[in-house]
Amino acid sequence: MADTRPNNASTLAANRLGPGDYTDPAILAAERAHIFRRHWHFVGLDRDLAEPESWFLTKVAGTEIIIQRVAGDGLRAFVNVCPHRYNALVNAPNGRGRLRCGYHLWSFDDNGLAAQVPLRAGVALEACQTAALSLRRWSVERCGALIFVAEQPERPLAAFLGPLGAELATLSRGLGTEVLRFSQDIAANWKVILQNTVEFDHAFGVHPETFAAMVERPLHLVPHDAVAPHIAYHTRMKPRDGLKPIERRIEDIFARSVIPQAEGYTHATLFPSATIGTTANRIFALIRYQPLAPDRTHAEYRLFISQITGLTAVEQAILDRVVPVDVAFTQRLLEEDRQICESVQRGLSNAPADLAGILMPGESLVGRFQQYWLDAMRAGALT
Amino acid sequence: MTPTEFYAALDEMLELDPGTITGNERLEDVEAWDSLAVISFIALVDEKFDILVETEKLAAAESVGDLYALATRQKAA
Repeated sequence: MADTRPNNASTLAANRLGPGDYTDPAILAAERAHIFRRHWHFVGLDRDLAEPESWFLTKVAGTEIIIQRVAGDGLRAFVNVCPHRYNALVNAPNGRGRLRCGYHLWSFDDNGLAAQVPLRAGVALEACQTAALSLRRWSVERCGALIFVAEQPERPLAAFLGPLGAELATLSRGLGTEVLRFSQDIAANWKVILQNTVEFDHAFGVHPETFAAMVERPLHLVPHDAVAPHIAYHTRMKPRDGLKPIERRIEDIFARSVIPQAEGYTHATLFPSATIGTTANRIFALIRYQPLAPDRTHAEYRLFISQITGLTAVEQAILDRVVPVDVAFTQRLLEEDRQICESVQRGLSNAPADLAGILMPGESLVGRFQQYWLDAMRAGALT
Repeated sequence: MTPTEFYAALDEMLELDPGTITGNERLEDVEAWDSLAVISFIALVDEKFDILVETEKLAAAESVGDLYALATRQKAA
């Protein structure tokens, strides 16, 4: 793990991580142990578990986890392995019903205890209803309609999210139609990807026709304080003078979003594995990242529009035309980011270990992210 | 709404000089007919005719005459 490096330029900030922190398999193994297993991870939405006993399969820190809705409105998170002979309990991405292993037909109750064990040949069911033969559980909690899991959380979800929790809960309850969902592997370290989300000096090189064309210059990221280890900020967009009547009408429609209006581009990076961003409350992008290898990260993208009150038929027809354009714009931005992150990773693979790098003033939130990473790695190593 | 009134409304919607649209234009030749104009047309027909344009038929429209026929035929139907 790299440490803070000396910095000869007083107006510049030290780049706290070195090339090896993005390329060394030992670092990723330590991150899984010290960060990914101790922090909460956004995995889905309540709407993904609309039916009783419905479940979906996800992967966190290299482990497959089944998230299931149980009696009432409860949630459970089970590791996807049968405690009998290690078969994966489920193989589909989602489903419904009591969890039952397809190998020897053991089934399990809401608490992961063996409920039915056929072929016992005289062995008492109670002998199979021990903690050792129960499904392994992870912690699972909600923030609004967002579902988070953690293997060994250091603190409850509400404490982990801090002041962001209330905003996220409001936002999640106001999400409307899901307009796009896709996933892809990005050939870049997860930290390269997240650091790219917390600075926009790159907008002019990477997004010249998209984001850079919209933001106010000089560019200001206005960070929200007291949300550590997360990072939240907003940027102002250029004033939109001379709008055509239909553009004003479209803005008026989106202004009726049930999610409180945010200025410009609003972003939150939920350390260590998710981002939520929206431009003027039009498209909400919820993205989760899981490292597959030092130079490979799986990214799952979900794009939503907000619920909007009192939509008339013609307003819905207008949105039906506008939203695909907004979605295409967002996809283009995401693709531009994927390409630059993969380019940075290639650069890292070429970088000598002593190439220290530097953070410019506009990249101060990258320094904040790196400090959170160092703090988490050190705290994890001490426990 | 007469055809002349309809063309005038299109002129105003597309921010063209009065009398620009005469009804004989192909939409591909009208520079101002873009994705935003399509949305504006949906709103215009809603306002002037109190009907919701069928977007599939709108996508198939090739001329200003088609737009007028689309609005008036739907109204008649």
